[in-house]
Amino acid sequence: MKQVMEPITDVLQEQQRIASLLIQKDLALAETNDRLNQQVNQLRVLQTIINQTRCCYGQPEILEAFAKGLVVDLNFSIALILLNRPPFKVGIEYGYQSIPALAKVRQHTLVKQVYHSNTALFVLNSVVAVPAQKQLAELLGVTSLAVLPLMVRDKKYGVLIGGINHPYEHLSLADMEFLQVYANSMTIALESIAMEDRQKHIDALKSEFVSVASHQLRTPLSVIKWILKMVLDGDFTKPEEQRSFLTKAFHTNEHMIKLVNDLLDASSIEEGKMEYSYSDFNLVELVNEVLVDLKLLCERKQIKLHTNTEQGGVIMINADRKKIAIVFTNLISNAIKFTPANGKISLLINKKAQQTVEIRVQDTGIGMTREDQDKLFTKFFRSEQSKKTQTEGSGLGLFIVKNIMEQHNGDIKVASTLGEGTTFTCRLPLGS
Amino acid sequence: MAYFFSSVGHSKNINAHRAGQQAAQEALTGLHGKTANLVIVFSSVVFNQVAMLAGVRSVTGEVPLVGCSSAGEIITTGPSNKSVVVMLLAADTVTFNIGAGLAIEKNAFLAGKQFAESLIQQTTQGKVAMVLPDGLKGDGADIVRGVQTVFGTQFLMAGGAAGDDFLFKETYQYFNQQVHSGAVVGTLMSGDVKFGIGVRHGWKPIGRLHRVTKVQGATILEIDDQPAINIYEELFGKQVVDITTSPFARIAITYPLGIKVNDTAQEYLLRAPFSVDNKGAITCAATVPKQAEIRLMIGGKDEAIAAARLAAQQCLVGIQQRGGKKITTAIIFNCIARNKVLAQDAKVEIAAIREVLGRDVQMIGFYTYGEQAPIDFCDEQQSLARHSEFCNETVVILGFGE
Repeated sequence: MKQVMEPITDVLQEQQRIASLLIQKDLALAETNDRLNQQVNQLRVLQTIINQTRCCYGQPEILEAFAKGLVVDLNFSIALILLNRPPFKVGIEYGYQSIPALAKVRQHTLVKQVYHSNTALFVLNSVVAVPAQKQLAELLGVTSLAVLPLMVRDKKYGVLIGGINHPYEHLSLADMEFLQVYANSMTIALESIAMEDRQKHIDALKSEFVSVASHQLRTPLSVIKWILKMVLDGDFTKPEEQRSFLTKAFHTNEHMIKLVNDLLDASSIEEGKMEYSYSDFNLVELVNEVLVDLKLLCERKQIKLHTNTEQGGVIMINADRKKIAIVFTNLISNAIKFTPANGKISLLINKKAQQTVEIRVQDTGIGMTREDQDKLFTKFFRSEQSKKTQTEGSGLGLFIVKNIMEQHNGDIKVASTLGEGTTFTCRLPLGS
Repeated sequence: MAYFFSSVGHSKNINAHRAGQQAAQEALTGLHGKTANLVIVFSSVVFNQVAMLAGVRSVTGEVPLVGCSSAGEIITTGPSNKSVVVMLLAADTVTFNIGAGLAIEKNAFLAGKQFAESLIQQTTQGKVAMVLPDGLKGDGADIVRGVQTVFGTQFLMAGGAAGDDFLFKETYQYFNQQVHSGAVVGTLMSGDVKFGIGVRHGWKPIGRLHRVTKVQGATILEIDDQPAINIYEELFGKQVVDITTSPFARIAITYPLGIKVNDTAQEYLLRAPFSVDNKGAITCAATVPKQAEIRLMIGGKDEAIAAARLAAQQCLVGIQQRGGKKITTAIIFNCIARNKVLAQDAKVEIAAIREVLGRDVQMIGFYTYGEQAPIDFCDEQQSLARHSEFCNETVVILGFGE
C-alpha cells in the first residue's frame, strides 16, 4: 500500500508546486497589468484635456478641465487649484466632498514652501507621514496627496493640489512623475492664454492711449500753451494777474504729470508688468504716514477726519508697502475731493475673522448712483456727479487701487447713496 | 401588442443630486412618453447616497424604485465607474411589486424571509424576482434560503449583492426614497413575463483537491484539518495574505474557493473569501457545505469572456422558451472579481454580451459582491429542475423580451 501511496503523494505535491508558481505569476502579471493600464489611462486623460483646452479656452475652463480630469477620470478624490501667491486665491475646488479646512490649506507652510521653492511635495501615505504632512492631509480630508508648483519660465501661477481619500489606494512613485507632467501641461495652457490675452491687451492699450492722449492731454496742454503765449506776448499788465495765470498753468501741469503717471501704472498693470516687492510691515504705521499730508488738505477744506489709527497699534501685513500707500492716498484724497466743506471722513482699520484686516473709508460726500457704482473700478470711468461738480480726475485711480488689492489677494467694495456719501471697504489678508 | 420597454440613463456629475437627476432625466427622455412602472438605480459610493437618490426621485416621482450601491456600474455601451445609472421599465402586461427585508446583520435568513413575505402579500402570482442584498453584513446563502421558505425552492431569482467601490466597508440598498444598509431589496414580477436568466463564471480549478473539515455557516474554520487560511498561504506566500495592509477580499476575491456541487454540474459553485481572523478561519460571502470538496479557482480573461457569451445565450434561450420574440432589456449582475481579472478588457466582456443579445437591447447592471441565480440549469434545455443559489465570480444576466 505504502508503495502505491508514495508516487500519488509526489504527484499531488508536484501539482501544488506548479499551482503555486502559476498563482505567483498570475499575481505579478495582474500587478503589472494594473500599472500599465493606469499609465495608459493617465496619458489618455492628459491627451484629451490638452486637445480640449487647445481650442481657445479661457482660464476658468482650463482650471475646470484639469481639476475634473484628476477627480472624474483619474483616481483622485479632490483637486484644488490655488492661484497667485500665498495665501492664494482659490482658482477651483473640485471633488465629491468639500475640503474640510480650505482657509487653513491656503495658509499651510508646506503649500507655501512648494510655491516658493518650486519643488513638488508628495505624501504617499499620510498614516506614515511626518506631523506637518499628516496635518495637511487632514485639512484636505485625504490620505494621500500631491502639491505641485505651477511655474513656467520665471512666471508663477500658484499650486495644484490633488488628494486621494482611500484606505488602501495611495499615490505611487510612478504617479509622481505623471503628476509633474500634468501640472506642467496645465501651466503651459494657462501661460498660452495669458500670452494671447496680453497680446490683445497691448493692442487695445495702444489705441486707448492714443485716444486718451488726444482727449485728456490736449485740453490742459492748450491751456498751458495759451497762458505761456500770453506771458510772452506781454498781455498781462498787472503782475498779480500774470502770477494767477502762471499758478493755473502750474496746477494744470501737475495734473498732467499725475495723469501720465496713472496712465503708465495702468498700462503696466494691464501688461502684467507692474512689479511688486513684498515685505512685512505695520499697516497702522503706514496709514498714519499717508495721513500726515492729507490732514492738511482736510483742514484747508474744513473737513473733520476721524481715525482709529492715531493711538498706534500693530497690524502686520505682508505686502508691497509703496503700492498699499498708493491705495490709501487714492481713497482718502478721493474722499476729500468729493466731500464738501464741513463734511466728515472716517478711516477705520479692524482685524476680522479668517486672518483678514478690514479698512473702511467713509465720507459724507456727493455719493453716486447704483449704475455708477457698478462701473466705478473700470478704467477711465468718471461718475456723473464728478463730471457735474467738475472735479478733476483721470478715472484711473480706482482702477489702479482695485488691481493692487487683487494682487495682494484682497478685495475692495463700494457702498454709496447719492447726496449722502460713500463708503469703501477693503480687505487684506494678515501677514504670518 | 404587448410591450416590455426600457431606457437607460447615466451621469458622472460630481454633484450627487445632479448626478441622480441627470441619469434619471436621460432615462426618462429615452422612454418616449411611455409611463414608467419601475425605476432601477445603481450608484457608486462616491456620491452622498441620500442626495443622489433624491435627485433621481425629483425626476421619477412616486414610481416604485429599487437599487443599490455598486463597485462599478454597467450600461449598454459598457462599464463605468464613479457614476449613477438609472433604468426605467415600462411594460403593459407585467406587474412590478417591490419589497424590502431589513437587519441582515442580525439574521440574514429572517431578512430574506421578511423581503419575500412583503412581496407575497402583494401578489401570489410572482414569476421571477430580482434580489439586491447587502453582501457584507451576512450570509448570502441564508438570505436566499429565507426567500425560498416563502416562495419554494423552485422559485427563480436573479440578482447581485451591493458593492462599495472595492472598499469592503459598507454597502447601501435603495427602496423608494430610502437608503438602507444591511437590507435586501428587490422586485417581484408577475403577469406575462417573458424572461430568461443566464449564469456562468468560467473560473477553473488549480492545485489539489481539499476537503472542508470544520465549518460554521459561511465561516470555514479548517480545511484538511488545518487552519483554513493555509490553503491560501501555501499557494500565495504568507506576505501576500497580509491583511494588515489591505482587506483579505481585495487579494483573494479573484481566487475563490470552488465547491463541487454534483457530478452533472458543468461548473463549480464559487465562494469568495471576504475576511480572515487571527486563527486562520476564512469567512466567505455565503454558506459552505460541511465536508465539501473544494479547490482553489483561478480566472482568466478568455475564459471569463467566453463564460459571459454563454450566459447571454442562456438568457436568450429562456426568453424564447417563454414565448418572447425579441429581447429588449438586460440587467447584468457581474462579480467585481471579473472586473479585476479583465481590467481594461472589462469593456470587451460587456461588448460580447451585447453582441450576443443584439444591438437594440437596453442594458444596465453593476459590479457585485456576490450574485444570486438559479444554478444546475447549465444544460441548453433549461431543465426546470434547478434552484437558486448564492454565487460568486459569476455573471448573471436577467433578460426580458416582448
